Amino acid sequence: MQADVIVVGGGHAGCEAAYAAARLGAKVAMFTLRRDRIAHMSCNPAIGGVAKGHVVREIDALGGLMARAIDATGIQFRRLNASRGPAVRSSRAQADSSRYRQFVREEIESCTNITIVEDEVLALLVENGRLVGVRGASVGSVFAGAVILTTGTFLSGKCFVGDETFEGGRVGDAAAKGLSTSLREIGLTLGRFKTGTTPRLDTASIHWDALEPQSGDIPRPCFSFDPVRNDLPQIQCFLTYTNEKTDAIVRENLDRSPLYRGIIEGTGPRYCPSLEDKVVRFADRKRHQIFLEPEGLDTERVYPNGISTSLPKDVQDRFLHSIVGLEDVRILEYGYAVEYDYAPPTQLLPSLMTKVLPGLFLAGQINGTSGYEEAAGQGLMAGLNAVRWMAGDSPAILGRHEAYIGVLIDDLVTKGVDEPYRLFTSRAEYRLILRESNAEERLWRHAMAWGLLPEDRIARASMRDTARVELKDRLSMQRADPAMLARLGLTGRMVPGSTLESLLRRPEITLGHLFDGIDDEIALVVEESVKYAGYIEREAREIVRMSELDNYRLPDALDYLAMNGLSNEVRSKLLAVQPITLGQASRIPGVTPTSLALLRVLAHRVVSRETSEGIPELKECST
Amino acid sequence: MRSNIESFADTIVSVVTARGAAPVAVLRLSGSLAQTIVREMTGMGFEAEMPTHKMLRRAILNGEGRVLDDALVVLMRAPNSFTGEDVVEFHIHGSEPVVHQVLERSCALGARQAGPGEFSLRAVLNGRMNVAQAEAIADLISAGSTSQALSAAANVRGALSKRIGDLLARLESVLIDWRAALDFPDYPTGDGATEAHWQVLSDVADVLSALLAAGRPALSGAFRVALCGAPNVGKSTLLNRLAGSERVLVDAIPGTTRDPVEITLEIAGTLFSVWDTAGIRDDAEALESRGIEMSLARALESDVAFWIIDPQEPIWPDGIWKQAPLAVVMGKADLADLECAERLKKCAYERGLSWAGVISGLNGDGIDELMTSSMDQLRICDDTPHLRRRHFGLIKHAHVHVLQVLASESLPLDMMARDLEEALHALGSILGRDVEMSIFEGIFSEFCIGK
Ligand SMILES: Cc1cc2nc3c(=O)[nH]c(=O)nc-3n(C[C@H](O)[C@H](O)[C@H](O)COP(=O)(O)OP(=O)(O)OC[C@H]3O[C@@H](n4cnc5c(N)ncnc54)[C@H](O)[C@@H]3O)c2cc1C
Repeated sequence: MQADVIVVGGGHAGCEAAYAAARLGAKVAMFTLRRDRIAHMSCNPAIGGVAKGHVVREIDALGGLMARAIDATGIQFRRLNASRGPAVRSSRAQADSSRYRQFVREEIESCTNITIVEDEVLALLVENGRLVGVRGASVGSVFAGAVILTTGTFLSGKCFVGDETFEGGRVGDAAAKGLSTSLREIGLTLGRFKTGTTPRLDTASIHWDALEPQSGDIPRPCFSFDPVRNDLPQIQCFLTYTNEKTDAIVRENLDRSPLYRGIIEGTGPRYCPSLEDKVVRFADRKRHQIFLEPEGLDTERVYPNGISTSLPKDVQDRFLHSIVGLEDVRILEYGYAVEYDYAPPTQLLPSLMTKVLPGLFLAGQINGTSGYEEAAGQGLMAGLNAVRWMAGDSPAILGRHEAYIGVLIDDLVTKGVDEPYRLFTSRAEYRLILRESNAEERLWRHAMAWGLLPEDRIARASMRDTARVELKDRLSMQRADPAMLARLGLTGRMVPGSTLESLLRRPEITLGHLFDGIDDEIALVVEESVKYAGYIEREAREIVRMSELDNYRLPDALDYLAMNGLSNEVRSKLLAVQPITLGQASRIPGVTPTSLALLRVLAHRVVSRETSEGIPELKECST
Repeated sequence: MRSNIESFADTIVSVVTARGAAPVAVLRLSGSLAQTIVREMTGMGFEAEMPTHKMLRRAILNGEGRVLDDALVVLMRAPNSFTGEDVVEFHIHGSEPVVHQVLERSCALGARQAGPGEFSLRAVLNGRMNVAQAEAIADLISAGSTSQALSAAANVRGALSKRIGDLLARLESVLIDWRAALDFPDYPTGDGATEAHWQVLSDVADVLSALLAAGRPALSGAFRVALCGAPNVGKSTLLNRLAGSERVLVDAIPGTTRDPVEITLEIAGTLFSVWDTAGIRDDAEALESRGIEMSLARALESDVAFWIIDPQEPIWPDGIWKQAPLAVVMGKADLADLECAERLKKCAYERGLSWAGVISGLNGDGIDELMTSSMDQLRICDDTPHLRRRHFGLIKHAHVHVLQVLASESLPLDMMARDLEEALHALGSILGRDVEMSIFEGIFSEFCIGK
């Protein structure tokens, strides 16, 4: 079998990778262990949230799948942080998880140049130091120019429930065993992380009427910039709490928790503590909240958000029964922890290609991230870059000032990770420029240039762009007359002849006060850009300042070890990361402004030796 | 946010002669803004009239057009200069106040202080030096970095470092709460700003302004005086009196002084920098209110801010203005009697404000007494930390942003968080601390977040 690009994995990273590569015309073979689990949500049945919602919007602007999939199959949509500032406004939605899987699978299946291969990849095929394909357990050798690994939590995956341990990438899936060896053989270092999930509950056994409901927001926020049809009924989630009895049960049984017995070696994310962790680390909290989230419309499975655990089954039963509403609950699937191999991401170039083996790309949880959105964003970029690499094109890289996906990838390849990485808005230094609302404005031109958008989408994106520009023009040209000021209650506070833009800067004035009939999405982007112009300009100035460093390319073969004058710590960090630009070097933790200046000189020395130009003698021009 | 990182796109400035009492100091500017800066500072066009590599005699002007010094100026146009960029050198009188003002003026016009060896570095990179010379520069920088590190360590040891560390911790505690609320709205992370947060912020602002007040006179040699108050109370008339000429446009329509205007003068052997500021009105329109923001910044930066009141229509400072080192002055003494002054003085004390005296801008009564007596009140603390210029700039930056947070109660939480981050980064870089890391640590250790 022969393909252009092989994608190993049919999770959120794998699907976007395959879809992006296919849109660029590549023939893709997508391996997955189970076809029915393509785009499976291993953990909570929700997409989006603060910073993650931003990524979903970016994926949409870049022509990806995730936004349309959740818009089509969401069963509760919420807008978070509506009044807390434009940079942190985000959308989050509950998915009907089986419809979500189906939507994505159908999209993938309808791409004629994607072949889904239901088989386990055992090894990479390397001939004379060159990557030529992969070996499948039953299909045998498959050849391709580039391979993208998106194996999630599956590499040497090991699950834990109390005293029980079993091999598996997640419950219901086998682990991928051979591949880790193959990766070590080519010279990649692997580390071990862990994560966990909650028990799943039977809806019929929950006393719903005892609980506090939470509904979605109306109008529903959506993720895709294009309208997507969704006639599904919208549901409520319910809130309950642990109590002191729950705590006591957990505490009494800590000695039976694999986490506290030291059986699990991998590092888990601090922002996703298990219930065991919560009880120990936050002993002073009387209760912890639990959101009960149905996994779909036609399923009996309910996801209790807030009680990830790997305690033994009998303890899980007991502590759940101590919770209001869950006194008689039946567990359909017990909570568990999973430990897996990941490849520390400083081994990657910003294109997500490994430094050790050209043509091999890594995306998703294998890079030490966690979360569907983070995985999907990387998958899309890896798919795009794999195709570009084969064509000899320069890598497609999103700047930190252009996208959260850019922040994510730059953080991974520059700073590395010491626990599973997820996005927060505070990771982005230019967060007022990276809003959920303006993702298309930021990215559609890139997407078009990279060939990621079909013609009809380009037309719509460009129409929306024109509408934004026209609206901004109207605001800066049109002036308020006395009648308008009177209508808005601004007489005496604004002078007649003020532009509408200056009116809009006032906190109490919205675009709705000035114009009728403007599309909500367009209105939001433009309004934010006017109201927060001062802050946005501040960030824009800083971007310009930093671009000098980001545009300074470091020569490929710098001998960092021989750079006297740099401290050992800085040298070894530079050696590990091998930054592409001075800007990237400046973001490596521990690289000080002085070491940066020195690096500049040393890099310059290499360049001038290479080009061996005649360099003029020093001219001291001052008198 | 990353303003501590130096970009070569910046135009840099530095005194290239040794510091201290020398008759002449040389200031070198290099970079793309050098042309604009010299034009602004000397009132001459770079390209049109200026020959390159010729020394010319020019007056250096401050922002308001007043002469700071009589100087020799050399322009060296790119690429034929030491650094390969446009370079301007000012040969000026070596007294600290003059040097300081010329430096400050070029920074105000967009330059920043050069890092160690940065001129030479640019020379290397622009091909003005050969490789062997580049090696020497590299040694220089690494040696410089050690001695710099040592002196930086010495500078932030002891009292100052403890104080900054303490301020950082206090501001971090607030930011941790806010960031947790912003990034995890679904968890019990609180609703943002509380009374306790405001208290922390205003305490920190007080400490920062005390640090600034203590460090400034030692740094610049000149006392800074801001003239503030409602429009049309006679601030500009007073300034004109001080300057001895009609320098500020004085107009009977309230609110004409839109940009703060500065003069420098000597009274009884002491140097004063005096700023006029825009009048403060609540209902000022947009442009005016930007002026007022600047006025506020000036008042906060000053050693003393004279709040001038009209005896017939007294308007008192409140809110954030109370953060400034205010002293109330009754203006237009020619229009009022002694009794009236006594009454106003009492009112000032009742409001917790200090009283500085009575003046008349029109006939000049009381002005010299006001300036000299206020000088006595500008205590220079004995434990004044010797702030390096960089620290001073960073503390000032932090101060302005903390005050902006305090003034932004009606802004969304994230905007306040942004300003707070700005302040934290400035203070963090004095101690070389990674603020981002401690915020994350703080969020996850203080809040129980997770599915
Ligand atoms: C127990 C558990 C708890 C989690 N908890 C959280 C959490 O708290 N927060 C959070 O944000 N995220 C959590 N997640 C992570 C989230 O599910 C992942 O981040 C996301 O799904 C990763 O996407 P991915 O595409 O990288 O990998 P996955 O979605 O895991 O997909 C991996 C794919 O690779 C395939 N595959 C693997 N190896 C091979 C092979 N050798 N040959 C062929 N196919 C292969 C699999 O069949 C699968 O299709 C959790 C996941 C699990 C399992």
